[in-house]
Amino acid sequence: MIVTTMDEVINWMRKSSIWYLLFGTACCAIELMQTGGPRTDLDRIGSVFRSTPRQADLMIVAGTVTYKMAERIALLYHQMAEPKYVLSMGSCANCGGLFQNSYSVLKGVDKVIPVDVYVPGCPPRPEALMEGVLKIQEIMMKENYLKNHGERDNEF
Amino acid sequence: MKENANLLFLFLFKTPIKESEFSLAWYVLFVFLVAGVLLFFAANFAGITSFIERRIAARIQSRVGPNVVGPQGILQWVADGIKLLLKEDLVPDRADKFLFRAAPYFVFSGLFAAFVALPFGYGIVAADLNIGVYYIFAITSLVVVGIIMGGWSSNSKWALFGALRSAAQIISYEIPTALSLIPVIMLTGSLSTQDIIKAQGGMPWDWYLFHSPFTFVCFVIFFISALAEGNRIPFDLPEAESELVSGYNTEYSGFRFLIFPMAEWANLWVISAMVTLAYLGGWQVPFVAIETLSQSFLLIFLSAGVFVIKTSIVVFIIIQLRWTLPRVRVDQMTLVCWTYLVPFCLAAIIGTMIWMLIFPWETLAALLLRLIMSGIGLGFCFLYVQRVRFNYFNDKMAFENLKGKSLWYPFWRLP
Amino acid sequence: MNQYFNNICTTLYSIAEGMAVTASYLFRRPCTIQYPNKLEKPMEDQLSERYRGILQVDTRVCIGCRICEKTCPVDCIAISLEKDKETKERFLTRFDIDISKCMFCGLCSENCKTSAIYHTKFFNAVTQNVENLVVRFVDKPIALYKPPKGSDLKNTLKDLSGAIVNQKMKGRAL
Repeated sequence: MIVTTMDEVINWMRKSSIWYLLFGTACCAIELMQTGGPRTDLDRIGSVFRSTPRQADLMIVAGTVTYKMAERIALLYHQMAEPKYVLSMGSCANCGGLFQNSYSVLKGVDKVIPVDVYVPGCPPRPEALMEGVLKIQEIMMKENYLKNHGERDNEF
Repeated sequence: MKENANLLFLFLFKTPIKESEFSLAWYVLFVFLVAGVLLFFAANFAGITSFIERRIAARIQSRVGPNVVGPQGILQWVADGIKLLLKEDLVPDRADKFLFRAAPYFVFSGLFAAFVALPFGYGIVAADLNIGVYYIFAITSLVVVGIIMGGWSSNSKWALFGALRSAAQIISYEIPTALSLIPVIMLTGSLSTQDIIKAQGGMPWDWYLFHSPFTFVCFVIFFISALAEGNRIPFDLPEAESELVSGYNTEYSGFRFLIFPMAEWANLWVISAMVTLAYLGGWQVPFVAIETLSQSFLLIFLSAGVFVIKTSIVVFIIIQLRWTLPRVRVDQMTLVCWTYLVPFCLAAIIGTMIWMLIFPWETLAALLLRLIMSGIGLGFCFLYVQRVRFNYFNDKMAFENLKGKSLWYPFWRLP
Repeated sequence: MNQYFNNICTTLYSIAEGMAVTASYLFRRPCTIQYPNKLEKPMEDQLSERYRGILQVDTRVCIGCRICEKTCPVDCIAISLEKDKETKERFLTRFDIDISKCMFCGLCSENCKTSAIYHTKFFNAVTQNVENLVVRFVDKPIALYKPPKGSDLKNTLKDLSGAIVNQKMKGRAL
């Protein structure tokens, strides 16, 4: 009973300050900036950008992932501190999208890192990205933080 | 300190403390109590200011700011803090592990030790040191040691760049900071923070800010160089987010990272309190003499309130400055320090000396000049308000034609 | 020397001017749309009229011409048709749209003769599994629509809120 309440409080704290990694690979990054901008204020739900992966909770993969970039993305993902989440934003990050037949593009970022939430769109509206962050909050609220000590079974 | 401990003992247990075996234990306990209160204040101030800064920044950028977490987002800082506590505490593989772990403690202790000598009201000060101002300068320069340790030990080029920039900046800006307080110290004849405030008065023309044009210049210089010492924009070169990844705290995560922003925001109070006590009359209540101030507890609390309000205004100005100005370059930063601030400081010190000789504090001529100076200051404030009004009305018609809504939405109206 | 003092004056003046601008913004209305909990009017009304949201197919009016499949630049539409040997009637057995791949260019809906495929204003199809983003519009074979001669079906009533897509997307709680 107490553990459940503690879990809820901790999860609530965690979901109230999702700091995302300031990082974008292609044109979806413009929409990511717009989401942090005045019209759809991502700061409203406590999400601010951190430019270093050590302090970020959420990685928003915004845009086309080339094979060369995929290594870097995996490196950045492994540099993030637990607990960490990944949001795949836009068609290119979801499955390669428009560039699926290209020789140099990764067919979906879920080939290299585990993805929690997919946001479709090309690019998604700022509101759709906001909905994605809210979905991450939902995932956080369902977790047993104390039981798992922050470890998530998402190692790839 | 000792008298306050005696008073509290008398108040709690209704017996005067004697030279008994408990007295030493009571004093030690009292020291820990005061330290705890200061720490509580500093940590809470840092947190709440971070929230308020985000709201103000949001309004300046015509956003809303954090308003979902708790009523109007008031619990945002608690959520941020506890989340950072719960995050994994990473130490890079090839880092110097001991220095990496020790660096936040240096930053923390360097800043929170400065709170010991800062006054909060009449007689409300943890330790009224007779070298108070000097002590604050000395102890806050411990911060730079922590920053260099953190930057060097984390084995990352960005952290190292940030740390070296920070070293160059903080050490060079110590000079104008210290020099610009010398006129105040000369006018008071004391280094104690309480004495500096006691030498001023409640009304603006009794403040050191309006004593002479030279002290006014010194105020501006002290403000600028204190900003640089506190790593605030426009001098936040050590953690320049667009150039270095996150500066000296790039490799820190979790609780150890939490220390750095907490110290930064606690430093905001230190800067503002120093500005307030040195130039803005400190806790002096208008129309109340110091002799009557010491009589009643109510007036003492009033003085504390005055100090907090003045400091908050300075904090607000610093926050607004942060979200107005872009970051200066490294060469501009050193240029400002060595070719503008230091020469002006030296000139202002000599000018204040001459001014003190010609117009001593008590004479009628000095009072008249102070009145004129404060009149000029008021005029500047009036001009500033006029410019704000002009900027507002400049865009009013276009907005209302476009949106069909009133543009008027003051910051106290919370969306 | 003149330049030196000029620099100081311009710096202080421009800082004060900038502060006046930012201070005036403290009294202006913020332009934030407080999605999702404090909206002034629903999100669908705020979108522009020809907003290209997620594709939706009205299988009742599909004539099975496969123009949308051919015109799609990223091949995100898959259609199968079957013909009943005895009655010569054609059936639509598969109409899948991979939303995760779609680039929302609008070529399919422009070329559709009966506007069976069209863009809705529904945009937030957020999901935890990428396979949920493949929307299957046909559960069991549907007889193809035969338009009456000379009729213009471009102006049929469209369900722009995306109810069909919502219903077809599995694993998405609404």
